Amino acid sequence: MRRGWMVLGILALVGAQEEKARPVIAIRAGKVFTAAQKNHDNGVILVQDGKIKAVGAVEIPGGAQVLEFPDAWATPGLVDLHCHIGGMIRDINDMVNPTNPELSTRATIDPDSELLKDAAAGGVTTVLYIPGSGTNMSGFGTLMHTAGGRTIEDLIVRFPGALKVAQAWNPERYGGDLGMSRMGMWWGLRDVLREAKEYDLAWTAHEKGETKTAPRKKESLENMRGLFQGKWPVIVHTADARDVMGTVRMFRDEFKIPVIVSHGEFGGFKSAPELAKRGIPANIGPRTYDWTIMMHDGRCYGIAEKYREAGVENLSICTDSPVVPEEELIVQASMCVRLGLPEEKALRGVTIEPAKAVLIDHRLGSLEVGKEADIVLWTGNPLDVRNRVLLTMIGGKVVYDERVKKRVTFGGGW
Amino acid sequence: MMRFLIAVLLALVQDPPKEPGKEPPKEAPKPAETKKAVYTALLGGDVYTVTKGVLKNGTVLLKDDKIHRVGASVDLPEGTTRIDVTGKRVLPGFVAVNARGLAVHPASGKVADALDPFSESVKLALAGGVTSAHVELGGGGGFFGGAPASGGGSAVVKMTYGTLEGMVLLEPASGSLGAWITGGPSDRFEIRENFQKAREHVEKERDFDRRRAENRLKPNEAPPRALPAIDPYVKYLKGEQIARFPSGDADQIKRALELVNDFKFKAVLTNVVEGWTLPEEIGRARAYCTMTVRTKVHADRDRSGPSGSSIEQAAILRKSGVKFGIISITQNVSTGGVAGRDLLNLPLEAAFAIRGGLDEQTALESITITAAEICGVDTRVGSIEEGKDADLVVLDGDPFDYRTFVDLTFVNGKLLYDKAKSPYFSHLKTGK
Amino acid sequence: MRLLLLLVLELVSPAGPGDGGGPGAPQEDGLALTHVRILTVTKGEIESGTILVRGEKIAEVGKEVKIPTGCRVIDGKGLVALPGMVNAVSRIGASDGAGGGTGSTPMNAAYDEINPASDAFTQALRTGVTTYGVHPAGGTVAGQGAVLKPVGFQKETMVIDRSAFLRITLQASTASKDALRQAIEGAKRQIEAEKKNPKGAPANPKADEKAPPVVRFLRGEIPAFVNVGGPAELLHFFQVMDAFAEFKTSVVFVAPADIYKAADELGRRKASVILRPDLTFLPFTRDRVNPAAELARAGASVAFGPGADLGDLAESYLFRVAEMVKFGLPREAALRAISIAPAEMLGLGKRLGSLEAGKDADVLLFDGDPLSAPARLRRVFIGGLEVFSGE
Repeated sequence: MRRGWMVLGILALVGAQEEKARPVIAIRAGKVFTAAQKNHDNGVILVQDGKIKAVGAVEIPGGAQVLEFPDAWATPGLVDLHCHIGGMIRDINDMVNPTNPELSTRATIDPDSELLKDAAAGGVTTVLYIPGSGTNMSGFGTLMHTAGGRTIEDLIVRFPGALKVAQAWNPERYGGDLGMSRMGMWWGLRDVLREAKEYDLAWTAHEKGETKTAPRKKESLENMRGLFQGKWPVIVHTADARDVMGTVRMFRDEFKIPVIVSHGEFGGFKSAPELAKRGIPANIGPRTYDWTIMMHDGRCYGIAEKYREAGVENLSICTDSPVVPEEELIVQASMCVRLGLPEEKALRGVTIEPAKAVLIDHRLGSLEVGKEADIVLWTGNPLDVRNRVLLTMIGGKVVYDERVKKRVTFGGGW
Repeated sequence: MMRFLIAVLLALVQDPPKEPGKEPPKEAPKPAETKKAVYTALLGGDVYTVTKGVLKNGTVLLKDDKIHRVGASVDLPEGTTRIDVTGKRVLPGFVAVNARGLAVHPASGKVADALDPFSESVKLALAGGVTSAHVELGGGGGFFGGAPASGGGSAVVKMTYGTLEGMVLLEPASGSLGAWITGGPSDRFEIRENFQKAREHVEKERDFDRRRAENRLKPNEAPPRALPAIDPYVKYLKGEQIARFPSGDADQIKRALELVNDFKFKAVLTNVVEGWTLPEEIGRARAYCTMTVRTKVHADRDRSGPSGSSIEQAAILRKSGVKFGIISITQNVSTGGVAGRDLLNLPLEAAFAIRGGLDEQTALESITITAAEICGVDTRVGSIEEGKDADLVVLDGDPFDYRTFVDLTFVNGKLLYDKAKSPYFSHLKTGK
Repeated sequence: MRLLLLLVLELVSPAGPGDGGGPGAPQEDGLALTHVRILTVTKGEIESGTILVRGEKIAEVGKEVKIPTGCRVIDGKGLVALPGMVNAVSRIGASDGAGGGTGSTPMNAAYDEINPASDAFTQALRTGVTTYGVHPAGGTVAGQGAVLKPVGFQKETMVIDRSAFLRITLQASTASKDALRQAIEGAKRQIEAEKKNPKGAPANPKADEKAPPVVRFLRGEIPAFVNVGGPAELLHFFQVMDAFAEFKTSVVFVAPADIYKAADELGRRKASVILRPDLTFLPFTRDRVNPAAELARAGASVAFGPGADLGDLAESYLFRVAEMVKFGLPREAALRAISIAPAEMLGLGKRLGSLEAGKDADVLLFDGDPLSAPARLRRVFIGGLEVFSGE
């Protein structure tokens, strides 16, 4: 009997030691932009086990590793939903079939990519690495971190991240083959979506026990099931109002899939009220203004602000890297502000809003208790291009620290 | 028969007299005609002279096409047009140090003959606050930017929308020694030979001048004459012409400096990327640089020393006393939709140099007075000083704040851009 | 005796229908177009009047005109008369000459390129253009233009002026401006040499043989039609020519729609411009601009040219001119722009381009107002001869 109590006592002691041994990092910053309810001046962020333990006017526990940035801004790690630089650029388009639900970027990720390192040093911590717009439906993208892992698996936040679809312009191949006209494209998409929906219904019924025999397994449609189950969205490259509207109708109205309208330029904002009505997120970039192409009044219009004006609530900003370099995601946000978008909206547009749109906001996108410790320290307001990143943390791990090795490659573009 | 007679008669009658030419064109440019001077005053703004600090709440008085007076309080002649710029900042018009294809037709020959003062690109440049540009004949910078090819006539061109008058500030603005960098051994041999001969000629000239002053000339001795092929090189040596070398990487820069050090002339290294790896050498040669801050080249892993691009290049060069001009990614204006990467946002590119550690004063100089110096026009433009050309911009905020817009742009004393009256941006409410 | 009588009879008898064949001499005893609504262009509109033609000329125009006996009378009730239109920028019947470049070939003549047997002349009659200024193909100084009317099968009958104007195309380039400058310099030297040596023989035997048409232009004897690609080229032209301001020359600019951007400069110089009757847009917008109206408002002289001798552009010419009126060009200016204005620019303002006594009897009869959509061209008279009747 006494031996049992002793064992329990030892176990409790060991447990207590372990509790004390789990390290805490405390970041104190002059300004903490949480992308949540409240921001903090001279706020503290406590990080433990890769997660945010506390935010605000909190006491720093003894033994914590303290990172003092009294003049800096702390923000959530930036999130970009339209990224093509996770691997090699020639790997992102497979242009034989017009629809490719079986393809994905997962296997093409290059964790050593210099471009991803530039991105991390630019404050971008999570990207939706998607295939290109060479075909109508190019495959599934991977939601991944830009740093903090040696292998592909280490970097993945969620796979599938989203299905990538491209309406209009780029997929209009003039080779005379399938899907070269809008008629072909719409049909091709509907065909695959219908088939995928039936596939998901059949399997769901079987999994619930409603049917005895399993339906035939079709690998190429497996990832499509998550769309119909609301697990991940489809992100659609669009241009002009007609295609924005078409996208809304097909994916949301007809197939009831979570959809993100990406790009939405060349006058696409004229369909913004329809997005607003349905609560569909808009993802703006690389173009941040509509002016002489498709617009006919000589005026330069800030696209993001136009969508916001029309009532679109979830508004995120992207780079379409490498068109705009990934590390210039924050500069894209600055340009949206220059062209009319309120500052707060712009900062949220590269943090919580994209996280929400891609259905990952329960894990990241804001500095809130329980979320992953993706945190960036800046020399000041990140929107001011004169400010730079001092430190980037992903999942509680410092992946970039200027004081250790400053990253000086910045910019470029297509 | 009657018909025949009539025909004969008609043939004998002359053609009706031709009408004399219509009214001749009315205007020919009249020589010295005393016209009343036109005065314009910008009042109440913070005047960034660039060379003499910031004059808060100052007055800039323009007389015709020149800056007449700059001061805290200036007497305004009767009839002065007063423009209230309280709360705004007055700066010299920006100088674009590389702007191939801007405001010109595609052509060969002289830039002055190919100018297009009615091009929309001129209007757009004015909206970005760019009042002068070093223009070469050839293509533009393209949709997403990129380094231009070399060759063609060069001139410093002013954005004088609607008129050719006063549009050319300097032509030729520079000579290209691109062949020294990109050519083969025979090209380099020839260039070196030419410089050698030019140096000998300059020596002969000096000797001649010396002996003439001492009255020791031979009877009927004429001044030495250089062969036409050598003439451009004589101009380089005498400082009458600036030479440009495209010099992106360290090898190209070193190659250019070799020539500059051997013959000592004013040189501009254009589109410099690895200049930050050898700043002292560039400084010693007293060469100028032009650069796009956001050019990105990753380090070459096969090289032992530093390589690739650095956003700190501007700051590093500054430390070694190197003078440079900054230009945007797209070396022209663009309305393609990706904001902040062309001449409509030239100060933004300099702001990235500040991100890389450059001080604000040097950043300002890199798009004004130093850019003018690089183009050989710093006696005329690039700062707000009495006697200089009245090329000015009025900004609604800090020049390196990403939200700042150009309100007014003056070229040669004329107001050519007014944001409030232009359809471009007058409707924008910047989301401060 | 009988032979003599026969001869005398021959002498006095009027011409028979078999004489000559085809378009021949006009109605000997005259032609009267009565009860016509007359758009004189220069002297207002006459609600209902008569145009009296004698020989190749208009003898009288008025509300009440005495019609001589023996005159052929056409009752024009319900018809509208307009002067035959003048297209001063034409290539009708001209072979495809080599155009472009910056060469200087002032001795080249459109006259030599014209093929009088070309089908184009007959086809073009239905368009209502009765006088053509035909331009030579070529480079910067392309050569001499000719003026013709589409009647007769011989150049001698068609062409009324072999060397009516100089044709220049100016581009914004050193090569083009130098070519022009050199041509003018050459002509100037010749004029100065002749002044010094008034007895006729050229003082300088090396005198530029190419000079004469350019000399005539510089002396103001013939105008130059200068084709410019836009308002910038216009300014480059002035830059070259203002150096020769001591010569009183006459210039007509052939320009595209965006020439309106230089309206102030053109108005200041009281310049003459030929345009197509088409609207354009303000840059980057769909806001319409009427270049002709802008130029007229600024004080320049405006003429129109259809832009082609045959085909859609030629057939729809009056419709487009009507658009110009719809969008702000005064009606009178529009009517002048298709008739008297281009006539004056060709130096023929005293001879044709309006319905007035003494002018060539080039008359168009429409079954309605020519600037209204349903109106059709019914008859065309050139020099009093009916050359087209469209049923």
